[in-house]
Amino acid sequence: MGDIGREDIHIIGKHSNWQAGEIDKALKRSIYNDKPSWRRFIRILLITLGVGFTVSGIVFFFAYNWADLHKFAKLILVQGLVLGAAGFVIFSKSGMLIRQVTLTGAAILTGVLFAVFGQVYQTGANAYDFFLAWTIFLTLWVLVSGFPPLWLLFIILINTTLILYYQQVTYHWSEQLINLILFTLNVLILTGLTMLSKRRKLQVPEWLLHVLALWVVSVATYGICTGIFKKASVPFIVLIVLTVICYGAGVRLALQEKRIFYPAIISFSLIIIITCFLIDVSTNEGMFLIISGFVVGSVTLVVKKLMDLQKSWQDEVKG
Amino acid sequence: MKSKDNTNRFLESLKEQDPSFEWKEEAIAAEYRTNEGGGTSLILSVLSILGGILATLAFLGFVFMAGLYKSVAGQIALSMTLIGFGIWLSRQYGRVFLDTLSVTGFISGLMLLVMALVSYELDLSSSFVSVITIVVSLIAIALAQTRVLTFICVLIINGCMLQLILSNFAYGILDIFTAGMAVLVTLVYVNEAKIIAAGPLPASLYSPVSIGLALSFVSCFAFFGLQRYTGISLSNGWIPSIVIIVAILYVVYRVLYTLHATKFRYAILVAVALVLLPAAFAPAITGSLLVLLLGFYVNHKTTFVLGILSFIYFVIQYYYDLELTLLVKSIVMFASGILFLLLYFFTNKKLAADEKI
Repeated sequence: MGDIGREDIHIIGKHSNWQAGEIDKALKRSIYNDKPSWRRFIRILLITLGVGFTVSGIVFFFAYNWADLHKFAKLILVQGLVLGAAGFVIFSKSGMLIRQVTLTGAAILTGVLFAVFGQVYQTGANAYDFFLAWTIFLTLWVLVSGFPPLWLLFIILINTTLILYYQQVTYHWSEQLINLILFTLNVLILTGLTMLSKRRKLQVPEWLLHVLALWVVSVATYGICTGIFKKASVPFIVLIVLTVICYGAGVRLALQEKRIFYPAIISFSLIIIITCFLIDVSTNEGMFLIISGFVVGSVTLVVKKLMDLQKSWQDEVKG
Repeated sequence: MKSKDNTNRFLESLKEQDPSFEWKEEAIAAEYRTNEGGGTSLILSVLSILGGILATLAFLGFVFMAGLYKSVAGQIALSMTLIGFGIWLSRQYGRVFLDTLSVTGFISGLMLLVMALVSYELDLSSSFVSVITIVVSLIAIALAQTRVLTFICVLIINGCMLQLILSNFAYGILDIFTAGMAVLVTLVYVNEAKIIAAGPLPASLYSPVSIGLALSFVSCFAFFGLQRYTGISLSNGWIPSIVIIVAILYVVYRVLYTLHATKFRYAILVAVALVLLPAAFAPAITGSLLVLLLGFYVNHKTTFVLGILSFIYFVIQYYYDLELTLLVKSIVMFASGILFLLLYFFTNKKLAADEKI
């Protein structure tokens, strides 16, 4: 039947006497999900809800301050659950998906274990060392799991640990420095995942790369924008240099792979940064008019440029 | 969007199947010329909208710092010019890269208009201003017919409807409005083919209106899920929730019908109804599930992701707000978890057995 997209069907429907029944058939054949997709969807939905609710039930049970239990009993209970889940992952003959989801459940239970530990020994539940321990002990599972949602959890934990460390321990770090560290760290993770995926060593889903890239660009934009209004410092200048290098690399990679996501978010980040710079220069009415014109002009130009690029890539494929 | 050649091949094959099939070659070719190279790319639309909002803020900053708001007549004239410019630009060129400019013109014009109407000199009621805004947005949709502007207008209309309901303290109507939105969203998503076939206007407005309605629906049930934080106390939401559950059952029925799954059809419907019944007082949860289901049914990624995110958020919110001791919460969640796992193992066997046949 040929390769046809939803948009094409809409366009044909708009300019023809195509009957609703026939359009419905075409949509169901080419666009809508078929039986195998529904099977997969139902399985993932049920397993995620099942493991998700069960694990949250356990988490809530431990958050509930039950005083009667001896502290060792509490620890043994959670450790037993973690071991049980891990044992299931290793020895069960069930499908890959359920084992991966269970491993993610066990990963969250590990956090509960450290929380209970903190409760028993009064280390506090939001201390950075709690997240640090959680992160460190997950590393091995994350590496062997091959399960992107668990990778995302791990990346979130690393970021949380760092931010809490900055807030609770290092009073002499400037905001610029923590932004620089966060940026560098996430760029390294993003670069690593991209390289592994390019060399076919690891299957990294696009959504994970995009979420990570969005976070990296947000950190850079936030760091530079807040830095503009303050006195220049060494970390701020390093952040600018690194951002320029990374943005350049990001655009280059995107042009090689013929994708417009990176150039789009990078351009928007640059537009926001330049806007902040303009506001720093002056805040009179003329400047606001200039900014308004600048934003419209630059976004229009970026969109036009990216559309032209996509068109030329499409033509290449055809030619 | 795929390539024009693919579409031409597809058109020929349609003609072979049905000799009475006719199409306007020139109009279709023109459509591809204006949109080629990412007319439907989500990231480009998002970029245009964000750029438009940023530019609008800067422009309004300019208007207020320059004191242009001091004459109401002047402000209304300026706002009309901007709105007209935004619509004209969309209508005349319909090019994706001009969206930022037309969005900036339209939104800043509309905001200036609203501010002039509620200003001290005119002092119109907010309800009246909402109605005017709705009318202007409807006119914009009918005239402009571009994706981004239509999408924004759908959201503006929904916002005005909510404003009308909430500023008049007609909280009971929010139940009915949310229920109505559930029905509307479901009908629009399920009847894609019929709407496309209905004519050129519905066909070109379908995509932006459908995703705009889904987002509006989420904003409606969010009021029920976030009552504690908005300070607006509504009913417990059983009216929208029941309607939503019925809509979910209808979609499940459609899915089973489409997939020719005749075995256990009614048993499945009863099971779904039973699982959903405990959520009868949580329209935010059932509503998210409806969006998720519709998104997956028509395989529309944005709707599907919207459903997943809102589902995760409102489930967490629901349990967080629940006024039960942690022990009871934990038992409720543990029991539901086990129920879903049992369903998984039960259906897994069935689904696997199905696959072998």
